[in-house]
Amino acid sequence: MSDQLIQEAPLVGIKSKLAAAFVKGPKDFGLVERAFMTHVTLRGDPDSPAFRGAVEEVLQLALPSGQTITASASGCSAVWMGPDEWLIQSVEETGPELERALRQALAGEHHAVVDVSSGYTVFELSGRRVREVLAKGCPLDLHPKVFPVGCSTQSHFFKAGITVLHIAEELYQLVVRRSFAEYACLMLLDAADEFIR
Amino acid sequence: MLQITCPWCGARAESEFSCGGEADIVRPLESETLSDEAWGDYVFMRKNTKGVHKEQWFHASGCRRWFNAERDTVTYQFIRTYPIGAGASGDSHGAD
Amino acid sequence: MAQTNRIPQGGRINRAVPLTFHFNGKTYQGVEGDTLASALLANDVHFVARSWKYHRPRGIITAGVEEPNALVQLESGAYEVPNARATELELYDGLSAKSVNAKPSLENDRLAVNQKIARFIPAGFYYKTFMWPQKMWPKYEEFIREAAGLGEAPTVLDTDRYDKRYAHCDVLVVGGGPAGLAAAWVAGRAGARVILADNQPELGGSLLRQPASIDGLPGLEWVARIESELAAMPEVQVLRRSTVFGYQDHNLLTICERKTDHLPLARRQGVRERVWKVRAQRVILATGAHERPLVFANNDRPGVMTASAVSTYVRRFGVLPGKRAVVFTNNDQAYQTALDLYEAGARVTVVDPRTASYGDLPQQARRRGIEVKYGTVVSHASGDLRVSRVTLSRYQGGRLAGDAGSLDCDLLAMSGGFNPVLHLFAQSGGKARWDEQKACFVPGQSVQAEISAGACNGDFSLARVLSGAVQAARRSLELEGFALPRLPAWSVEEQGEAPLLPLWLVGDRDKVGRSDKQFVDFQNDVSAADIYLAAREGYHSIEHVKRYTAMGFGTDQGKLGNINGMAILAEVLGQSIPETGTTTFRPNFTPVSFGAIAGRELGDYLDPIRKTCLHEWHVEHGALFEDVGQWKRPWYFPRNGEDLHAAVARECLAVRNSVGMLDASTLGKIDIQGPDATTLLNWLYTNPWSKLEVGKCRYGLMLDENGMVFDDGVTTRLAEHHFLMTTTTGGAARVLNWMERWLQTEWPHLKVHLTTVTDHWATFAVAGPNSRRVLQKVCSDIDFAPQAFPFMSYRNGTVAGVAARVMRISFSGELAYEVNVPANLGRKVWEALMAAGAEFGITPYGTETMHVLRAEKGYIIVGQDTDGSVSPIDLGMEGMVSKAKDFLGKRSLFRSDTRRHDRKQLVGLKPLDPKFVLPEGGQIVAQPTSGGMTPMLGHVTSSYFSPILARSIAMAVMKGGQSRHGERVYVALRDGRSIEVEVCSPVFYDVEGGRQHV
Repeated sequence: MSDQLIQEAPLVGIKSKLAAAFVKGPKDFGLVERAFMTHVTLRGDPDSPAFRGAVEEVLQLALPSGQTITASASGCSAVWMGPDEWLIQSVEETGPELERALRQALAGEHHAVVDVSSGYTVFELSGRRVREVLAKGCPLDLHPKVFPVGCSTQSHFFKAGITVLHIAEELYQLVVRRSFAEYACLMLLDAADEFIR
Repeated sequence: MLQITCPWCGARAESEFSCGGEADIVRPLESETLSDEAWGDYVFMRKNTKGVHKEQWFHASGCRRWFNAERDTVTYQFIRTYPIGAGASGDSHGAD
Repeated sequence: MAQTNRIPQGGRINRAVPLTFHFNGKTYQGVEGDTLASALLANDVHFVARSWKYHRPRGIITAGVEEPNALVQLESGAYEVPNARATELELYDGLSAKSVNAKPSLENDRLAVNQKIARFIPAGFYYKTFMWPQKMWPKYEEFIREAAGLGEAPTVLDTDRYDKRYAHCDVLVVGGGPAGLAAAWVAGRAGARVILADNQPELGGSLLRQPASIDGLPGLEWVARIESELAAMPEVQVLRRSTVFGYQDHNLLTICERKTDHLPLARRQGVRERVWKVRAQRVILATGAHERPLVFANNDRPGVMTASAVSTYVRRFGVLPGKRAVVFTNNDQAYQTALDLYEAGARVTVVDPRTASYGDLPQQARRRGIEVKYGTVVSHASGDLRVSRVTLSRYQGGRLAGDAGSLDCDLLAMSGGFNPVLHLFAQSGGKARWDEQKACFVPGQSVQAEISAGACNGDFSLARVLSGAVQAARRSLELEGFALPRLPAWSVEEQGEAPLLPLWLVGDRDKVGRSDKQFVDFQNDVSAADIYLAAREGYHSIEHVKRYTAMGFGTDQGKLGNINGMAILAEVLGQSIPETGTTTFRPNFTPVSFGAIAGRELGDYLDPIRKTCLHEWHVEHGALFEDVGQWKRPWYFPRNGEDLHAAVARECLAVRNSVGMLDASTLGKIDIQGPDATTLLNWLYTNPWSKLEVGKCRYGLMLDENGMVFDDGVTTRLAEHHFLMTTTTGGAARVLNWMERWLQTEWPHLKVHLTTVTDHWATFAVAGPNSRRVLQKVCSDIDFAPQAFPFMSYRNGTVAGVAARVMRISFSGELAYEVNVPANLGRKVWEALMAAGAEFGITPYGTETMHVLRAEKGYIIVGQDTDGSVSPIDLGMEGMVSKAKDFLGKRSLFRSDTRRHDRKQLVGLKPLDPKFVLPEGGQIVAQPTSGGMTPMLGHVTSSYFSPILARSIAMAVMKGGQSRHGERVYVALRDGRSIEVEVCSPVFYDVEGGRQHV
């Protein structure tokens, strides 16, 4: 946890720009960086009971098999990324710990576990205009009928790849690659211009 | 912009995909035994189908899976998309 | 100021809010709710334009999107818009516009003389006249460029904001007239997600210009009721001032919403135009119909307008465009215009080629005492800048049958029937079908998920419009699986209507080329005579006639004239209209501004700017940056006003003599896990991987199947089944996609997983003879002794308190390490290394120094020294090509062409003048050139001044270069000089390679 103090978030270069952007406040649209979350990429055969069993034992959650998110009681969640790929998120454990635990549990099963915590950052988007802001650069249909709370999927926002998580009504998370974070954030602020300025 | 149905993610905008060209081209084994011409056919020669074309697509900004599609090159309609290997009905035809 | 043509009351305008505007330098007044066109007509200004080719005086013909004539150059400077249609421009206070295509002024137009020579410049004139002599073309072109075109491209940067958005809906309804409103209402009631887009500021469509009664309500009250009910439906979105301009593939429709164009310049803020990209499950096209003009001599005189436009100006804008009006119509509907004019106080005569009509509207007109001349046509209009008289002829059996006198008039309202607006239907892939009875093209079979409803479907009576729209909505809902709401049964009084008499070319066929012009396409100055000429010269396909005459080009794309033109061509060729067919309707329906097409992706937003975790540190330390792909990388770190040369020399010597540090975080990094990882690597790289020990690193070359180098990098075996691959900065995504493709499509049986870790790991190259000492100061759990940690190996350890992967690899030829730490901790570790290295003068260096150091060692940069046509053999790296295994691209290395000895091969070049740095890209020639043709032997790929060697060095690819070391050749410069160079090995420094092994 002492690392927390010296870790640097991907948006460090535009901190002040971000703070100054919300002239009207975040009533209609809010954007907060949730940096330093743990992210671990997990690959394996979803049809292997041994694989699923081992993972579910460690994470205390059921791996999703469609474009959804599952969560454990302890704040760990699994995001479906592809037919044999999940992104494990946690605010509790560190990446190396989680990586080690999963690798140990999966010994003997064909799998891949990779700590990518520093490779991604998370934007939390809130407000009644979130969907409109995302629609400026993302071709997904995010209507709640189509993409209800608990859903996740990948797409692009302008030219940055994104993973969109629908956390709660009018609350979304975008998982963005670190090196695209500043670009994606500036594009989001630009898209939200009419709602925050 | 086309709408393409990823076998895993459903109908999505073309901007999430990239096209890999003709499907079902199998890399020849024991390539050293091939003539220059036969190898050249595999590397360079592609069909230019008018009508239903089998091709590979990659859901690049999505689940990052490759899949096959049958698409009409005249109307741009997709007849179907399917995971690689799932649509084989005697349609693997070597290096043609 | 006087709006002499303004009617005292009525219309959708607010007379209490006067607006001042400027047109061609004069100041006028209009009122709120006007368009520029209606305000000009209110001031009795009909003559507003000069035509494209003959520079004939032209007036406002229509009241909408199909206007071919009234194009203006709107505003100036940053707000300038060329070719804006006056009929669509909502008036705002201070609006300023001028006519296009008229210099120096509309009245004194220099090229008005073209009218006099019109007989000599028919269609095809350019092609025939300016073909020869060929060398005169530049002169001709200058003249044509000056004479051609309409508005002028703005020269000042547009400062407005434009954006785009995606949208999705169950039903997209195009058009907010009665059909569109009815369809949207039904779909909305079913709970469907509906977008209704209409190009006007106000909904209502044709109900804005014609009286109606629906459910006992006046038409516009019904509109207001529907509008308020739509507003209350949460899933219904109504877009006003929004033109659906394209029907693209798979039911994607593109809409341009104009958000601020109707406001005075000073009050505009935010987005000016927004492009909507709507993916609709179902589309209901309710785009209405455009009235056809009639083709008679001088039918282009100002004051000649379509009848529906005249009604629009009278009823919607409260403007009476003329006081002595002739209505020339082949159908009943235009009798409404006669009634509108009559009620507004004009004197009206109707001229109708039919022998009689007992429809309700003609009867009403006759009852009011409006004179109707049956069996009569207008064959000629007179007047110069405004119509002043029309000549009438008797009409029998489709031909003129003798003089029928003349009528003085200041307005001629014409109607040749209506053309359904089929543009979007046709863009969707549908083929139009000719309806003989209605004498118009109507939509044929649907190709995409759309249905046409209302006038665009050929339904011209209000009752059928509404019932057709309800059915279209019902069908759409059923196909999408919605439960149907109770369908409305709006009651409408049906009007009796007599059939129209198709009338394509009014005047004499045999005099068509000699008498006054009968215009078909007003915007492109195409007359009936031009179509006759094209047919005579052998152009029989409508697509050829279009291109020969220019009919249907320009900003209006033939909205008004095309159908008349096709019908006239059909008659000339003696074939039917369906046999003649239509030209292809392509997007865009109306012109779309470049701003809207570009949206926000401009300037810094054009492409992602990717930054490493050290970017701010680099900025704080004065780095200048270089773009490498999308990345910003430090180029060099100038100190105390150093230039590039001085800074790079200092940085290079620091690395060679002590220690330097490079941010190499942009290198692509791919985590490879699984029991078949070595098998995959063996396929991807030219060299063998099976025997690489855990903890060792190896350099690899990757080829495409054509045998050409496409990436390179060092891969480390972290564990038995676990590798970390590095790729070039620019190649990271390409390599990962390449690997995934082979894995997923060709070798799905291989048990390997790939994960990109480029962004997770920050990577620093610590390079130079003192690098070991620096690392020893901040890392105590790795034994850095040369034998314990040899070159090309890897250790896990803790660097500055952070878990790190340390590789002993070198891209500079010096003792060097690559430190990898999680990027969130990158700056902390970098700063610790900088502090530890302070006593050795550790020097941050950028890409330029990296390039010099690697070139001194002859290390290639893929994409700089290679270009997709360079094999490992060409690079002199045949030693890395495994004989024992197959790998991607191997077979291509044994093709006859790849084995040629005269292929371009990598060499070093030393200029004989050691101070002269060759330009990269410079061509190698055998002898000094003197301007003639000389065979080119190759070109310079990398070129620098080497501080450690105190001389210039270069790498190049050169024909047969590997066997030409020691030869003297020349590099040709742009300024004509030839620089003599010696061909040599590309390894310039530390040829034995001892330095990196210490």
